[in-house]
Amino acid sequence: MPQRKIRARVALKYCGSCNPFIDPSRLGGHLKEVAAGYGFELVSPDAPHPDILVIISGCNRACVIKPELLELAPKRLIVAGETVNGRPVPEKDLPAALEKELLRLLPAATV
Amino acid sequence: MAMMSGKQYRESLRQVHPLIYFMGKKINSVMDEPAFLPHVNAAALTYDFALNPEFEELVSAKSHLTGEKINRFTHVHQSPEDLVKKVKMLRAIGQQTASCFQRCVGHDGMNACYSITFDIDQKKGTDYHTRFKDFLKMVQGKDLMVTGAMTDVKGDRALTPGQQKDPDLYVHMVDKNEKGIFISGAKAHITGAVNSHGHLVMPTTGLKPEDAAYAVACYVPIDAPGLLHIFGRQTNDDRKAACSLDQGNQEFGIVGGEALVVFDKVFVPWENVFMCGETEFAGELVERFATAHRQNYGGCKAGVSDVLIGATYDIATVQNTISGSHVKEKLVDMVQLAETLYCCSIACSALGTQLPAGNYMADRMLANITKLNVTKNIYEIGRLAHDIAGGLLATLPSEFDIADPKLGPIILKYMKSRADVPATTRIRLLRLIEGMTCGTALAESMHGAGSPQAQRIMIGRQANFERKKALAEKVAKIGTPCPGCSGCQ
Repeated sequence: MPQRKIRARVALKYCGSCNPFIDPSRLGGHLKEVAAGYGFELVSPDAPHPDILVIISGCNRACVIKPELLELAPKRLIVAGETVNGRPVPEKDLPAALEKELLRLLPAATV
Repeated sequence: MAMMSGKQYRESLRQVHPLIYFMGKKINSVMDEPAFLPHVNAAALTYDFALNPEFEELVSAKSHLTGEKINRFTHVHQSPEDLVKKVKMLRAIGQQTASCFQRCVGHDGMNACYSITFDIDQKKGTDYHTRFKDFLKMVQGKDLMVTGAMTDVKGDRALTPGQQKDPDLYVHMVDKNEKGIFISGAKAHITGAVNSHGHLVMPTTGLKPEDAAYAVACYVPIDAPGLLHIFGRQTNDDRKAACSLDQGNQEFGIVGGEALVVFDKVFVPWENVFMCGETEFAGELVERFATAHRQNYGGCKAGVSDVLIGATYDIATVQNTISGSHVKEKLVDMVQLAETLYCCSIACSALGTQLPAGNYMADRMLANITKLNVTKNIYEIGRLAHDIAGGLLATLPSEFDIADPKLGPIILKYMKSRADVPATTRIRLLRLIEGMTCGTALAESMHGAGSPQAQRIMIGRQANFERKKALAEKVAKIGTPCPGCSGCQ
């Protein structure tokens, strides 16, 4: 159980999973567990003023990403296939890499 | 209500009371008939996915009529991006069901009727488009599942509708009054017919002025008086009733669940009538519906093929033939065939164009190319699956023998392949491949959205052979003086 509690709103957006190369729901499930552990809010992209937008795209095409989507939050974390914010990560390591990157971004977004 | 969940969809089916027969008996409850449940399950997924964060980007949309969030299966396309999203949605759902989920037919019918009613009004001063928009708002608001009831039984194919000895061989108007019209006839192999909320009836072919009674487009609720559904046989009927393992795809079945829908003087109020006698628009309505529906097949079939390719790869691994170079080559060929279909669907969507009503339709030529490829590629993908899986695909003992205390251990002993994999894994994979490739499913790939000759006709019409001829003559410099020649003879 994490010692640190973080007050923040993290919006989660999936690409739609037409033909995912990875398992998006597994990553989303891990994100839920992380949110529960650190006590931050996991909200839909429609929710107002998220601190961070997490986009989970099933493949590296990341076709869901549009300028208006990126404007939803000041910070973004993008998983696109086997990459996290553009850095290659094998699928088995994606949950840990997602968590690590999110925690790196979160403190500055604490409200 | 905005969007229904799968559970709410199932409950909604209990609120209607359609007249249905199957295998010689009257079916009083769709939800309690084992033969229908796989089709209900597949359709229910189209509801659940619109509410599932992972899939909602594709399976939901914003209504251009109300601004509300709606299920994409009730949406009228507002851009080429919408067309592309439809194809992606179909692949996403196909990967989960490995079978038809039925709801695209009515979706395509609604898109075709939306545009054609606008065109009729422009020329005839009618108010079909306003009626249709009101109908569409109702469908979107209640999140209804609507069939696309286009294909007439057609009788003697050499005769037009009006020339048939029996006029009911094409659905037609038999009477009308100040409240509405009455229609009779029958529509064949209507997908999802028994587990939908109603039927969007459309003419099946281009019509001449003397066939005005056959130029009918309208909406009929599934339990309208005079409406009869006779559910079709499938190659897995008996297995649906009594088996689990032997079904292969127990939850979602092998096809969409088609029925013969018979109209016996069914009354349709004017507000649900969207074409009534305007024969000059019938052919165009058919072509727009066909284009929209043929656009789909590289989406859903690619998704379904993803599962079949996965099963074939898996069975090759279980049977330990996967290291053979010829097996790998065939698996790659299966992928190439499936992705070719997807390429076609994405291409015809990306090149979609706007219609006068404001909505978008896929490129006609490329949509027909998509479907014509499906009539071949899906058979080839199935053939390669058979090749790799082996003959056991067609000769496996039944699950009843596996369940028998004496026979079961013998079967499992002799059906085992790799020592570290249970025999039942092998059997399940083979049953899945069998269900997806050995019966009704293949014929659906051939004739769903129209038989291949229908696609060739539309491709031929748009091929512009004269333009291609001119290109060839220009390159060949036909008509210019040849060296050493004083002129053409």
